[in-house]
Amino acid sequence: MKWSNFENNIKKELSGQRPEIDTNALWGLIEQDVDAINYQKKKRRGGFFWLFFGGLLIAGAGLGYYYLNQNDFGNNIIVEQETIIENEDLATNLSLVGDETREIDKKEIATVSTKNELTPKTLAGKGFNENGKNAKPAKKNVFQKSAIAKTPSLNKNETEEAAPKIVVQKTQASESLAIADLITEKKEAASVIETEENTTTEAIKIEADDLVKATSAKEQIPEANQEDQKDLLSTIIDSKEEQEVTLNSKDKEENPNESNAENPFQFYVNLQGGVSFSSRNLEATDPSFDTLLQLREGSENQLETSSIGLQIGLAHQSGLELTTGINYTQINERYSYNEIVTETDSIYGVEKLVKNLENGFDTIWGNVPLDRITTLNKEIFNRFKMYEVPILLGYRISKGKYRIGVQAGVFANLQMKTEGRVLENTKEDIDVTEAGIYKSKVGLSYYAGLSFGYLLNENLEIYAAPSARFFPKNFAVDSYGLSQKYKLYGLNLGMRYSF
Amino acid sequence: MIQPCRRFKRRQGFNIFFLSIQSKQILVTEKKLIQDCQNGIKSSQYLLVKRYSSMLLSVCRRYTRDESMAKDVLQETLIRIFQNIDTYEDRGSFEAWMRRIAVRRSLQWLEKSCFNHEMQPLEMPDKEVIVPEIYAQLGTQEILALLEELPDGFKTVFNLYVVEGYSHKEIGNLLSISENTSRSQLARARKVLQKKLTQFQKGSCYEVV
Repeated sequence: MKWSNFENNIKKELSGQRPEIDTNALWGLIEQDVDAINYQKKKRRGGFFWLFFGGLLIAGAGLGYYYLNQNDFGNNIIVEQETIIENEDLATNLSLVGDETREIDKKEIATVSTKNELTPKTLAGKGFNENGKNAKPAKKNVFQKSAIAKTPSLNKNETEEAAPKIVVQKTQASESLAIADLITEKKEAASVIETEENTTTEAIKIEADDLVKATSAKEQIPEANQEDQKDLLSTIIDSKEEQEVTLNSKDKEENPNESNAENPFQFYVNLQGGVSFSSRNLEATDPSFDTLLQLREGSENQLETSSIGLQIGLAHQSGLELTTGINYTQINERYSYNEIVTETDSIYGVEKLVKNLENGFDTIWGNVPLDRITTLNKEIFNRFKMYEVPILLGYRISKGKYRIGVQAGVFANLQMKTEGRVLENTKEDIDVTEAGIYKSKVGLSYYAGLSFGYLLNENLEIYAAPSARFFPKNFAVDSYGLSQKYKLYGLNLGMRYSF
Repeated sequence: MIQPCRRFKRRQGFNIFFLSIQSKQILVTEKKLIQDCQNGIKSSQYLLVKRYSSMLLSVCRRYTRDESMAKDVLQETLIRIFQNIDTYEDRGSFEAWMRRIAVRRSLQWLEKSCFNHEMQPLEMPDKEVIVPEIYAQLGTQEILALLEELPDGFKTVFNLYVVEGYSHKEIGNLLSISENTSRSQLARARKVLQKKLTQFQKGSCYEVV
């Protein structure tokens, strides 16, 4: 037990030991190595950023190219051919010798026809299987949905809290008292700091002791007369200016981003992409178009909407931001419709059976009429491709490495291109571009969103931005019988680079 | 012509001015300091050196043979801290993290200077070690002087176990020795210390009544 007390005593004494050391000399010895370490880190981060950005750009461009180009209009039809050959008249094409009549049903005829050299092989040669159905396999051109490229981005926010700066107020005669008050406040703050975790109480005690000395020194100042105080103040101000020049120039050299703290504005670039859910409002402008409305609602449904944009903005240190840029949005819908096509054709086969004198049947060959019924399942993807310019006002707050913001504004539509097909009253589908159903510009859309960001380093930030957009204007031309408007609710992922 | 009282007051003004800088530095919490150092802000890195170099020097001094070696180790420790500060996660004490780096650097320096651990495993002292009463009256310098007289191997194990709080297993991993060797080294260190304390007691005026 005594030995443990001894060792505890040793531990206590040695742990509290603080030998004197010349910090400035020590810093002078390691400063170059520290600069090299900082340079390597910045280089690594910069390299990582450009590598990631380049990879992201290539991936996004590749996905975008694949997604946009694989939906050529001509390949959007899925055709399932079901061909039924019906020969209802064959049973009536019987002629019998003599008074005996007998109905021969279809099955018997088919059986007889296969026995009479109309073998499956023969049939196959003519393009039919033994059941008389079209032996050619149905061709299917299936549209394959491509995954929407989600582009997480890196978000960087400059450290808004700069290193402690020296501020000495240019005051008048009472400045010395103001400085003394400042020291008193700092002393009180220092006592608060002492209660925090992870602070070196020893160091604070040393520094607090220095403050006590300063506070006691302050008591001499009020005794000085006005002139002396002015001299003192002017000396303080001069020394302060020197210090500010030295420190500010040091800061600017070493931390160019910190020098921006003097400039309240900062530029940033956002690259973002996202997916939205679209809600369509389709209404008949006149009751006479109700049938068309029902046809269209029954044949169309909404798919995901994708968007990608590059934005540039200006942020003020108060948190306000103004953003603009260029944005591409694509609203996707699916038009699906079953169309039945009936074609009349003929086939060389057993035209009729004739009873002969020997109580048998003679086969009469000829052209047999038949109906070929084809069911087409059409599935076509309609697209609204919009090029827009956003003008957004936002406000952001920061909490450590996290950023929370809100944005609202408008998206000005520069151009809209449409492709696809829709049904019309005659139950035939028409090409939307040829028919001129939709406008080429849809004006302004209103935008509101939040953003949640995380700072990766001084310049890079990644963020997620849930948002809502509302298109108040009708997408269709005024002469069309239906009004078509959209609301989008989605999530964007982005990367911000501040400079 | 500046009157002496004005010069005095001007100097006081300077002191107040510089102390205001220091007082602002107090307001920088450790978490903020670590963040700024991770972001490569040089003024914060200087502040970290200023705040912790004394503590780190005391750690290095315990394992090295002299003051100059301790300062060399301190420099390497600080550089290593700045290199690896990005890997520091906000779990556990930052000071303890730095101390571990200082201990490892110190031990590596000892290895480089061809330090041989007195590895005589499995030999435990014969008798139980009894600490003389004098220990309660020893100051820091006396304790340091006693520890300095220990052989390097004993001193290292003693410091790691008693002062830094490493377990024998951890000491074994650090020094590439077995756990049993670490235990025997500690026991031997205690025995040597006991002898020295007894000698100190006989030679000092602090005699136990």
